Formats: sequence, C-alpha cells, structure tokens
Amino acid sequence: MSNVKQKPVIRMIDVKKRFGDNEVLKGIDLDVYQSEVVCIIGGSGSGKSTMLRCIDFLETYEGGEITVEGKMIGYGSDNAGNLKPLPKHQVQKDLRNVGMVFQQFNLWPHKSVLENVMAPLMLVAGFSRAEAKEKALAALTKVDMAHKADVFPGTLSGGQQQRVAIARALAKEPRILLFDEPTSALDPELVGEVLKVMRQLAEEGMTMVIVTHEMGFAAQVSDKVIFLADGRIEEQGPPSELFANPTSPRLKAFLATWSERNGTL
Amino acid sequence: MFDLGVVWEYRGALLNGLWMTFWISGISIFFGFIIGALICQARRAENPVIRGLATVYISALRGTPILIQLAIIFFFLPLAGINIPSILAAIIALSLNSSAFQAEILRGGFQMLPKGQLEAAWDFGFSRWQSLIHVELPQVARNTLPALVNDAIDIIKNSSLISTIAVTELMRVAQQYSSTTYRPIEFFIAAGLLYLVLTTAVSQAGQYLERRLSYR
Amino acid sequence: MDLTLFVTYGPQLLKGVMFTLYVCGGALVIGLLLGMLLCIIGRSGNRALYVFYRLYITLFRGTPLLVQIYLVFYGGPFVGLEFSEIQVGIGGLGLYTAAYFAEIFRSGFQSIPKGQIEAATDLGFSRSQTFFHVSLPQMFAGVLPTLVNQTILLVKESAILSVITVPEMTTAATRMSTETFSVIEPYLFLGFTYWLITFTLSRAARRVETRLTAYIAAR
Repeated sequence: MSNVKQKPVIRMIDVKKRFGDNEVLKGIDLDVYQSEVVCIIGGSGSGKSTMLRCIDFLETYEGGEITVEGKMIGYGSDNAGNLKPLPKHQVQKDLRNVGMVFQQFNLWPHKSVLENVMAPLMLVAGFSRAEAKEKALAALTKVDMAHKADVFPGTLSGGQQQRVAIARALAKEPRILLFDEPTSALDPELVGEVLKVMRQLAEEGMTMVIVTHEMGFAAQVSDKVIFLADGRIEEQGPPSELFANPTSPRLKAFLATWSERNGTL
Repeated sequence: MFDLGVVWEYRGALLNGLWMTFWISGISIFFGFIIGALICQARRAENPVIRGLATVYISALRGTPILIQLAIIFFFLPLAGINIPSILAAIIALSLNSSAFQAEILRGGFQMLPKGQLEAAWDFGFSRWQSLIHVELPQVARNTLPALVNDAIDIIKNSSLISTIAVTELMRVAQQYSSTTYRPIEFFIAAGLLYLVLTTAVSQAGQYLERRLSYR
Repeated sequence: MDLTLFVTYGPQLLKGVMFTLYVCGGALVIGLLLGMLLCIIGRSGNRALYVFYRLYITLFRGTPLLVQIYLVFYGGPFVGLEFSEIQVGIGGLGLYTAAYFAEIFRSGFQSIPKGQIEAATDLGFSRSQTFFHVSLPQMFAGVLPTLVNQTILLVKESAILSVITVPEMTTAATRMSTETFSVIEPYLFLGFTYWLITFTLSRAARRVETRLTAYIAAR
C-alpha cells in the first residue's frame, strides 16, 4: 500500500525527549506515508506512547523535528532563522488533520454521546448545530453507536466508549489517526469490537499510527511495524518479516515472552 | 411559661428578617462563586506574582473570623472616605469570605480532573477558554457541588453575624423583639427554627441537584 | 497607625489572647469527649438513640452558633438557668463543635475496613478490646487532619463569644477600640493574631498528614 515516491505525511527526524534526568526518546526517525498503517510495539517504558504523543504535541520534544504534512509541529523559525516555540493555537491549527484516540477514551462525562461528537464540530470547526448533528450521527453510525447517541458515556461498556471516542475523532474528518493503546483499558471480550472498527478504517485507506499490544492485529493490518526499546527503534519492517524473522535479540525475547502468554501468532 | 403567641404576633417582622437573610446570603454566595472562580484561576496561574497574591488572599480570608472581616470592612471603608450602607458592607464581607472558601473548593475540583480530559480538549482544537467553559467547569462544578452547598450553608449561618452592624436580618429582628417583649426564649427558638428551615432546604436542594446532574 | 497604643494595651490584649486559647482549649476538650459520646450513641444500633443523635447533629449544625448562645445566655435566666458568660461561651462552643466532631468520628469509623474488625473478633478480642485496640487508633489516624481543620473553625467561631462579652481577644480589642477611638490598630491586631493561630494549626495539620501518609505508604 505504501508508495515510496510520495512525500511522507508524518516525518520524525532524530526526535529526542526527556523527563527530568530520564531520556525517554533517544533519537527517533520515522516516515509514515499516505494510507499507511504503522504499529508501534515494545515493552512498558520503551517510550512508545511518548513517541506517539510527541506527534500530537501532547508532549513537547527537545531535539530533532517532527513534520506533519510538511509543517513542523510545535516550532517555527523566526526572522533570524532560529527555532521558536509556536503559540498553542497555531500548533492546534497545524494538527487539525490529525485525530487521537486515547487509552482511557477521555470522553467528556458530562456530555451525552452525541454532544461529545458534536462539541468539537460546533466549537472548533464552526458548524451549525444541525450540520454538526448530521455529521456526528454519521460518524456514530460508522462505529455502530448511533443507537446510543443520547446516553452519557458513563453508562456504556469500555468497548462502546472507545468506539464513541473513535467516532468523535472521525467526525472532524482527519487525514491521520493516532491510537494510543486503544484496547489496553478494555476487558478481553471487548477488544474485538474496537479492533474491527480500526480494521475497517485501515481498509478505507486512513493513515494510522497505532501503539498496541495486540500482535495479531499488528501482524494482519499493518504495513510496517516498529519495535521500540529504551527510547530507540530497535527494529522495523513489514510484519511478515519482523514477526517471522526477528533479528535483534531484544525483539526475539519480546516476541518469545508474548507467545508464552498469548500463544503463537 | 412559653408564650408562642408573642412570636406569632410578630411573625411579619420575623419573616421579613428571614427574607433579608435569604437574599443577602443568596447574593453573597453568587458573588462568592464568581469571585472565587476568578481567584481559583489566579491561584492556578503560571505567573508567580499572581499566584502569590491569590494565596495571600485565600489565606487571609480563610484564616480570620468573619466577624473581624465584617468589622474591618464596616469600620475601615469610612476611614478611607468611602461611606456605604451597612447592608452593602455585609454583602461585601460575606461575598469575599465565601469567595476564598469557594476558590479552594474549586481548586480541589480542578486538581481531581483526569489529565486526559484536557488532553482530549487540546487535541480537538479547543482554546483555553473553550476547554475551561465546556470541559473543565461543568465537571468541576458537579464534582464539588456537595462542598459548595456546605459553604452556602455556612454563609447562611454566618449571615447572622451581620446583625452586629445593624442589618435587620433574622437575627437582628429576634434580638430586637426579644428585648422589647422580654421573651428571648421564644424569639431565639423561632429564629433558630427559621434558620434550620433555610439550611435544611438548601441542603435538600443540593442533594436533589446532585442526583439531577448525575452522569448516569 | 499609632504603635504606642500597643504599649498601653499590650497586657490587656495578651490577656485576651490567652483567654481565647483557654476558651478554645476548653471547648475542644468538651467537643472531643461529647463528640465521641454522641458518635457511640449514634452507632449503637438503637433506633431511639439514633434519632436523638440525628436531632442533635441537625439542630446544632443547622443553626448559627450566635442563636444558640443568645438562647442560653439571654433565655436561660427565664427558666432558672443562670450561667456566666464564660460558662455559656465555653459550653456553647463545646456543644456546637461536638456535633461536627461526632460526624467526623462517624465517618472515620465507617472508613475502617470490615476485615480489620473481623480479624480482631476472629482472634478472640472482646468488643471493648476491639474498640480500644483496633477501631479507635485507626479511626483517629484517619480523621486527624479533618479534626485539626474543625479546630481551626472553632478558633474562628470563638470570636463570636465577644457578643456576650466573654473576655477573650476580640472583646479586649473591641474595648481598646472604643476607649481610644482607634479602629485600624485593634482590628489589624485581631486579624493578624487569628491568622497566626489558624495558620500554625493548618501547618501542623499538614505535617501530621504527611507523617500519616508516610506511615500508610510504609505499610
């Protein structure tokens, strides 16, 4: 699916990030192309969530650069050519084609399902109430949640909440979707319904970057898998190669531990 | 021994007093919330000077008796050449006092909000104000409602102290008639019961509101 | 501002401050003991006692302290109850605070895990042994910060006693104000002194809290 002649829609060059003394990203390089599905795997503390959150500037980064659709995220050069942090609203504007789905859903509990999806459409995109409602219902239909439009998120199961969160992200018609461990907070029997929606999005050609522990899903759906360890990309490649013939010892160990618990891929 | 007929005779005056207690408390709680919300934002500001001033404001008003605050406003303003009626001095004192307590309650509410709620608002392009108005405040108000209702009840009870600067609210009326009729027991019991009705009504209303605003 | 006033009135003000501490200390003791008694009554399981408990809590917490004090101080003599202003002051403040303490104790007992009591019973502790060796110490550890906060409120409420001329610091400062026609000095003195007392208490509460959480974390 990837087309190497295109320009990458997300490009990370030598991205570095530290929390105090702890360097969590030690120079990350990544290209993501139009309609590509990239899965990021790795142990806890490997920096995989931080890497994803840097793309959406939920975390600032101190070194390197991240560009989305050709625009550098978070920083811009002044007249003298020095990099300066951009004002927040400018960063938000540069990221308007990027949607994020969180591990904890982060639905707003005081708004109904429908209002959760409508709020960004009305407040940020400036649609009228009627237009926003139409778009919101369409997005909810896509994740099969339109029948729950009028309830509060707190009454839904985790899987249903995550589908609503995906609908909320889809409603702003993003070109790129980021998923931060979208199924990690779910009971095992609810994981399938969320993965089904994500698979459907992948088939429709959405560009997706997914931090996940679901190796089966990664193997089937992704174009490229990134294995992160200690803040570096230890190994990457198409899933068929990476899962079948891992070369680095750490990836081998990681996959062995995973198979022990979950069976073979 | 007890002559409740005397109280009944002056029911009009007592009810007028109750009405004054009610509206002065209501206005003070309302302004207390508005000022408190602003002070809370100042207390959470990034600027250390603003934050420091807000901390001093909250500490001073929470750390001293409202009776003293009332006296300071009532006596000091005229010294500065500002003459205001005692009702206004009472409302100012009660509002400022309430604002400090409400600011701290709200601050606790903001601290308890999951970080992800704000991240989602940022991600969807909400401005700081939109995030505050549409995401944070509704949840904070709902989560802190029981504590805010308790503060409202405190303000109603503390409003009895404005009788000391001659505002003819419920307590003042009871004092006046208990001394002119020599019936302090009857009048202070009557006043106590009327306060009880008011505080109980507010606490019931709070519980009703809490149920109504439940997200389930 | 005329600081020489403080030279003249210093001894009186100091006496007032000491009396405020005395009144608050007395009310605190009454509040703790009566509050515990009320709490035990409320948790006894007897319906009539529980109704009495709720009634006490509702009446004392639902009405202003000022009303309660006026009722006893000015109404008492009409039914043969003659108390001095100091007795009314300390007693009134103590009875009022007891209602709050009782509810704090109650929530403290409620938050002790059931398993703790079950373990004690299982090990053959008697009811009173369980109460004194398991429930009571844990309850106190849990509610200590809240108790200190309520004590701060008590100190502030004690200013109200000046309306029946209990000779505490507000009364002393008010007298200084009327005798010298000064306003700024006495009231700034009051504001600062109350703040100092309550600030010290709240600092103490915070230290107690960190120590308690350290103990909990160490478990």
